[in-house]
Amino acid sequence: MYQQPVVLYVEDEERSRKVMRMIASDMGLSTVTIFENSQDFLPRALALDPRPDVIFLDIHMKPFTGFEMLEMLRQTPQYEHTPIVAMTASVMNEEVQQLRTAGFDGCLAKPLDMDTFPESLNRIVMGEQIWRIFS
Amino acid sequence: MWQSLRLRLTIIFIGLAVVPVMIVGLFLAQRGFAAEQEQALDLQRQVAQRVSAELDAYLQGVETNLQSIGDELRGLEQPDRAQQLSILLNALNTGTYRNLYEGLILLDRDGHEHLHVTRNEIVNSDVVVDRSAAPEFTQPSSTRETYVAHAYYDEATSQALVTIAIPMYRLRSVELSGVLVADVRLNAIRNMLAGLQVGDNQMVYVADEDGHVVARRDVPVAAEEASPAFSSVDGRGTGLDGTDVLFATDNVEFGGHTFTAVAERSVDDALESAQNGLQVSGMVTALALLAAGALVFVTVRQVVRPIERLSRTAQDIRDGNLEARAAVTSQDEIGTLAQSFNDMTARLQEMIIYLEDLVEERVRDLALASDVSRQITTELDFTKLLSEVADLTTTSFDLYHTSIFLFDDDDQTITLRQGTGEVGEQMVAGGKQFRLSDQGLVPQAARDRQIALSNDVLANPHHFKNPLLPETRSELALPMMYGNQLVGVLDLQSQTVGRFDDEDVKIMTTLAEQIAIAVRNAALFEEVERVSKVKSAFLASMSHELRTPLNAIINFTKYVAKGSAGPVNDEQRESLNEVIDSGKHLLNLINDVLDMSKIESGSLNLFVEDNVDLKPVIQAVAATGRTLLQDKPVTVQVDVPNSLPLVKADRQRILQVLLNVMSNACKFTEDGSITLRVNQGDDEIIFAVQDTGAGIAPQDQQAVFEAFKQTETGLRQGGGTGLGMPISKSLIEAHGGRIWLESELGKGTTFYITLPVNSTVLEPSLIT
Repeated sequence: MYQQPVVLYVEDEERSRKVMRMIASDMGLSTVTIFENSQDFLPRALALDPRPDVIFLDIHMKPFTGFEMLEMLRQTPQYEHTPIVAMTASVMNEEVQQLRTAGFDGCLAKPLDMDTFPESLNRIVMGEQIWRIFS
Repeated sequence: MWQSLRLRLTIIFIGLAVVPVMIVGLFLAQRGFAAEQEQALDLQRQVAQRVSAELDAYLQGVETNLQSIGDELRGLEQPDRAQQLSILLNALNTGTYRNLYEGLILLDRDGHEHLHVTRNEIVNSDVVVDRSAAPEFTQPSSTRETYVAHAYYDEATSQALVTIAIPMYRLRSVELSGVLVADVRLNAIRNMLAGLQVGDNQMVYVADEDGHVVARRDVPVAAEEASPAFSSVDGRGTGLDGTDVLFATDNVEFGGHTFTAVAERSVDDALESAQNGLQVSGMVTALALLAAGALVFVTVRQVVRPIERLSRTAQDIRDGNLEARAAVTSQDEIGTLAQSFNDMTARLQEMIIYLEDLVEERVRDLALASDVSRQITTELDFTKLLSEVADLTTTSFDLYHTSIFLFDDDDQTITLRQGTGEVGEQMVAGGKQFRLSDQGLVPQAARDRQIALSNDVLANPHHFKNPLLPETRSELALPMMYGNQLVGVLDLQSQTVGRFDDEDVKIMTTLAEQIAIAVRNAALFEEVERVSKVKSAFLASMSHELRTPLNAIINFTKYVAKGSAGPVNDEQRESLNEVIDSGKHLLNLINDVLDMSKIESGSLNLFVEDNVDLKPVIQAVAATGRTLLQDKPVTVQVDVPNSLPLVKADRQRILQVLLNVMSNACKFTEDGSITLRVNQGDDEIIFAVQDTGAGIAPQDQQAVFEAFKQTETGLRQGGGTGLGMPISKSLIEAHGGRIWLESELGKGTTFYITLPVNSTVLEPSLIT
């Protein structure tokens, strides 16, 4: 019996959010929450119920960047061990390096590959690190 | 050298001392000998004179004796033959002259022998011997004088004889009665000679006028014997026994004949004392020579030895022993010389030590300058560089303060960018700035492009007294020049008056040049870094800005093409797939271009993991190949050993490379198969991707791995950037592996990739 993972996606760009919604809909995933900005990020994330199994963060955001959000989440007991994956179009070497250094559990580069996304999601939930830089 | 000096001095001293001694010695010896000889000769003369006097007396005595015999005979009243004979015999055998006469003849007035007696017989001849014509008769009878005949040697009696005849007169009448003839034995003189009081070795003899020896002192004259000295003058000659003698003669006249008295003495004997004297003087001379030689030796030694010692000391010093000193053993000129020499050496030593110190100091300064230069020229961080320059310069050269001013070409100002210590920070924060026209050493150095030096700032009215640096006494401002460009000013301050001499200025000038270069390099590097950062930021931004819309394009299209948004017919789906492919292609282009730019700028970083499992990678590659080939009659075969070691690698990049090779194979193979074979070598994994495609012409094979050189076929068929293989090559080589291909036109291509199991070339700095 396949249990749907609970997903949180933080993305300030409309089309990317739409892509995610589309992919989720396509794979029949109904447990996806999307934040359109990082305003009051931590309280909102902590308020989530059920708690997300995996969190996707865009990096270039305001007022908090993906790195800051990661930092905040890691400070909480709730999300200390939750897979947190960067979902970004900034995948130049140094940028990926920064993601790794910061402590992300993986990266799915934009553009996303909707064909492989379900499998990737699955593996992430299972605790695997996925660094899909090239699509 | 010293030998020759010693030799020369010895020769000179011998010339000066020994030779005169020898000459004087020889001269004196010769003189002494001559005197001795003359003395000895005088002695001989005296002897000869005595002999001649005795001889004269003797002969006179003989004559007198004869006359007395004659008188006796005359005194007979009646000449009686017997009486006469008795007188004659008596005369022969008695009295003083008893051995004198060999024979006596009494001639009558007519010259006939009246009586004739010899030592052996009374000659009674029947025949009257007539001597009337003989000189022994004619001479005395006519002259009425004693007649002396020539001396002769009588073989019969072995006697030298001389005949003497005296006239005889009648009693009391002057009428000649006859002549008394006597054969006188000259040998009888020997007794007279033997009686002479002369030395034992003194030879005395008498010769007649013919040069025959008629009597000699030692032995009777045995035969007619010639006198070797007869014709000689007094002096040295041959003696009777044939040896060298010293002789003298004196003549005695008797009866018209000359007798010569000869005194001779062997030279050895006569000159014994002279020779002794000669020996003595020889010995004295030899002693003098010895003494002179010793003196010479000692003197030369005295003179030469200190010089030798001096010379040895000089050699010691030459050989580097500056501690060597000459012994001063006297107060004379050589002592003074040695003392001067020592003083000179000491002075030399002082100078050498001074020079060595000086050189050492210079070398140290140069080493310090070079040290500072080396440290700063490798420093590219601008701020750090300036700080290091200031600190190193101050500490290395023991300065009070170092400041670095940089020149701004645009507004022609010089601004303090670095200063040592808190004071420096304070001043930099205060924004210390000069215009070129300002007063002070720093603006002056910048203005003139030359050093500005004040070794006593308190005495310099133009010096700007900085209250933050109250102890400054010397200041040296050096323009930092890069070629003809002024980069800035290096300002050095010391608490010591007169700190900077010419050599310091030289060294500091070199240092300032080096700093200028370093500053310049750091500035350039900073600029390059800045440009590089801008470029990276641009690329990152571009990547981000292109990917974001592609996310929507590809996924929306896929969504629609799948029919999730409503039914689509085949034509629509085909068109939508074209959009998807184009989008993916665009994405690949972006990826490749970005990768290539990273590779070219050297900023391609690998995410290296220690234990990468290659199996899932290989499966993913095979799966991708099958997906790509689903419309072609090409099969994908995988040949992988059951176990593969975990490798140290960037998994994503290895996947990228293998996918690249696989997708190329898929792209260029129309039918047949693609085989992915993996083998384990010694320390590496070997991948082979073999296809049955068109193959690559030999002339094109190298170009496959070169950027922007896609082959004709590739361009025609595949599209793409042509950067995939060059990127793959760079990625594999970054892992320490290799990539190459083997191909035959019409038969296919095999790409080989090796990957070290434990790569040693992966830089640790790239591993996070």
